[in-house]
Amino acid sequence: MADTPCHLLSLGLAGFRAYLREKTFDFRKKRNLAIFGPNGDGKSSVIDALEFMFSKEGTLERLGLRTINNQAGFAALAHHLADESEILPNVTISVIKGKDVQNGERSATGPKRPIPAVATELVGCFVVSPIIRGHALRSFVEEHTPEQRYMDVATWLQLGPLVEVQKNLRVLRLQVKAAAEDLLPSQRIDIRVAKETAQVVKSWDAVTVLAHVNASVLAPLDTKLALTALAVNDSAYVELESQAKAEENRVGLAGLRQIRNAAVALWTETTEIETGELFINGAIPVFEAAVAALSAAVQKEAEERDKAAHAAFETLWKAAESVFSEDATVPARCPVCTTPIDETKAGSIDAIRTHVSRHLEELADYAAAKKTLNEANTVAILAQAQLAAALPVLIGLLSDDDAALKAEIIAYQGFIAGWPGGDVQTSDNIVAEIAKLLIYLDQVIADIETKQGDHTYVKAKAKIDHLLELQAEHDLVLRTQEELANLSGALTAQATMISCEIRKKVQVLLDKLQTPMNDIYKLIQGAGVPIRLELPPEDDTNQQRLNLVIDFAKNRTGVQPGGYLSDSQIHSVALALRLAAIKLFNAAAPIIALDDIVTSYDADHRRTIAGLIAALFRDCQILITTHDERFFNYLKDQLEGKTWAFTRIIGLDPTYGPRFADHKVSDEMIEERWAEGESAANEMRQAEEEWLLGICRDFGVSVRIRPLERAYSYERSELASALASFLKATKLEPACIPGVNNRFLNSLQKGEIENFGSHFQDAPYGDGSIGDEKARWEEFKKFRSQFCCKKCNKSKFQRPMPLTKPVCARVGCEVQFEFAGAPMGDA
Amino acid sequence: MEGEAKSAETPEAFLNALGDSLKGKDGADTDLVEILVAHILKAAPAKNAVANAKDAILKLAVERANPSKQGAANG
Repeated sequence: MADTPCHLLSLGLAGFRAYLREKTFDFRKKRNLAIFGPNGDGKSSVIDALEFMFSKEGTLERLGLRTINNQAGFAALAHHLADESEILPNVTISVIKGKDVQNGERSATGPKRPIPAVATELVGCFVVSPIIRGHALRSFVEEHTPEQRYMDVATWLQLGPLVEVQKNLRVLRLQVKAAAEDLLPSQRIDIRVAKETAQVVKSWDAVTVLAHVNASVLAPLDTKLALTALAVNDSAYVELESQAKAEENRVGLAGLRQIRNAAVALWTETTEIETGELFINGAIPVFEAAVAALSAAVQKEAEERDKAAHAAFETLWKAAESVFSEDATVPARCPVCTTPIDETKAGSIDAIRTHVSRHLEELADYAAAKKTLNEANTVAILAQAQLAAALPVLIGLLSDDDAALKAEIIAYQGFIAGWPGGDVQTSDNIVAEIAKLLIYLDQVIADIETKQGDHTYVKAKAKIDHLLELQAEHDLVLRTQEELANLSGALTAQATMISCEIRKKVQVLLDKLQTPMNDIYKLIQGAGVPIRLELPPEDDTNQQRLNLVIDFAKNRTGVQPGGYLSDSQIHSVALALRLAAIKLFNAAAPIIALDDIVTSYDADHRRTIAGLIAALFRDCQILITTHDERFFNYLKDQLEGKTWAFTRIIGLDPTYGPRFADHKVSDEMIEERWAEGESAANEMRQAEEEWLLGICRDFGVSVRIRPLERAYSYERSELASALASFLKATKLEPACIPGVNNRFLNSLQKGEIENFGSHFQDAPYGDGSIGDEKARWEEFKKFRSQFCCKKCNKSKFQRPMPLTKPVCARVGCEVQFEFAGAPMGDA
Repeated sequence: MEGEAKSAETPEAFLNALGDSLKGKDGADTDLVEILVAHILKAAPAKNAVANAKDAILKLAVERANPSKQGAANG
């Protein structure tokens, strides 16, 4: 059972490609099918249906998935009137393996067009794609590059994934190689090195970098300090590290400058160069000046306050000033105590005026002294705040070496904080110490600046540490590149090994193909030209290739077929290759679909191909479509009628689909319709028409020759009348059909059969129900059964000239036809 | 190896057998083989299979070039 091959039992199309209305091809009685039809009438749609059913993506190769470039996308699968006609575009398939029948349906519309299980199983049986399209054969040999051809063959042999592996490996190999040779990471390091060395060293070089470090980083600090290697364990680096640490603990140039600034903020003495004038600045002298000014202001205010002891009478004196002013009317008595002016202490108006004036002046002096005191107080407080802020800065920067100064400043700080209270502390000692400190600092700073400029051990160490990091990164980049180069080499070796194994697998299949391919080619062309399929070694510039070469002559071996073979020969090479592959590898599902494969051939070669199919592919199930009537006829001549069905497309009805002739509707198809609870009226009408056409052809019935555009479109009434006339003329009278008063024959003669199913509601058939259909079909079968050979019971006849009556077509029988009497099956 | 690979029928089985035989081969870079098996030797590889494999190889190269980091990461 496991070795039992799969075959198609039926193939149905509805709303698919050219087929709007449902069309089912039944392979139960005859497993092979040949379809003849004009171009564009839908014959290739049958092959399309198979391709679609077997497609992973649910589309056709020439359609693709999306509407892009020259491809129409999967939307083109559906007949353009399917929506309007409310027909769900789909393809159905029925497959038999032994006695196991599986059915499947695949929707040809919508984003999801899942492949049915039966199709998946069938596809799994194909080692080689079973579909051969004529238009693709020539391009394979002549147009495709060796790379494309390799891909084609591998795909035909279902080895596409292996080719994909080879392609991916090749791309990966090239990319890893490019990464291993990539200079960008090193260049990035070089850019940073140039930046770190102020463009002195343009690219990383350990010796140059070391020289730069010794000359530009270490020498300014100590000419004896030099690295022998850029490494942390180098003795010079250890010394540098020690110095840097010490520098951090001591005070560096920047730190000294900072201390100096802090000291200057407290006290400094400068001499104007031009004038030689001495200036003392800083928070301490400012504060002390403010304090002195405040002290003077306090004393002055006290003095003025005594003078203006009567300051409380200020209002009175102000008021008296206006009363006793010179331009005022002088009162005779004191306005306050009513004492006559003459009797007052002053004794006169003038004395009063002088008295008032003196008191007012005293009051003004006091007010000025008070204002000065307030201002001096404000200035002193501000100076105190500034001094209080400046003192901790210096205190914080002074080291233990300056402990005495530091202690004094701290004590002074306490005084300042408590000012104006507490014991007065002079700044003389502090100022003297600060002056000494500044002299010392200026000397040290000058010495350092003279010696190393801005260079410090800390800075030098930081610079060298950066370079050490860069060196580590540079080394890592180098090692990574080295590892990548190793991996690239290993990858190349492994890729070569993998590719070699794949090539061996492909070559094994090709070797198997070579002999049968040459045999088929020889059969088609009559003479052989040795064809060889070679896989040249892979290299970097060429990916996997397949050389298809021929040994055309002794002095023309291994040449390209395109240059030496004719069109049909080139076509034959590809056809032979495909057929041989299918025959050899598809034993599990020996199905072949051939779509217009003979376009390049002359008549003799077409006949040969028909013979080839008959001879070599007898055990296969073949579906052939062709627009070549002569080839179609050759097929009919040479292929066994018992396993082959031949049908013609007589036209494409845009609102129906391809119209067929000669395609027999089987009794089983009709039974299935009923089993599904559906009417089989259409199938019955087609079956009756097909039978009429066949029997008329066998009996040699004369019919009117049809117009060219309807060459095959015989109407049933026409056929029925012709048959009736023939039977009558030859005195052949069928027996009556029981139960229907011989209605069938009468209806046949009257041409009523064509209306069966549509207009047969008259008694005795009722309303056209399935029951009526069954009754009618039984009558038809009984009527049909009379047309068999009374000797061998076969139903195939012929009427060679000049016979007037038909004879049995079976070789060796050839008994003249006569009705046997009562129809078969009659009780 | 050849026998195994050739006897494998489907591309998937063939590639699996090929991967196994590469792993068992003397002197083969097993890390590299693992990368190839994971990304490339697939009957239905990912769309960015090559990019993924390349990234994995670059990562492997960096790890090998920087063993201390690898040790630290592992430790």
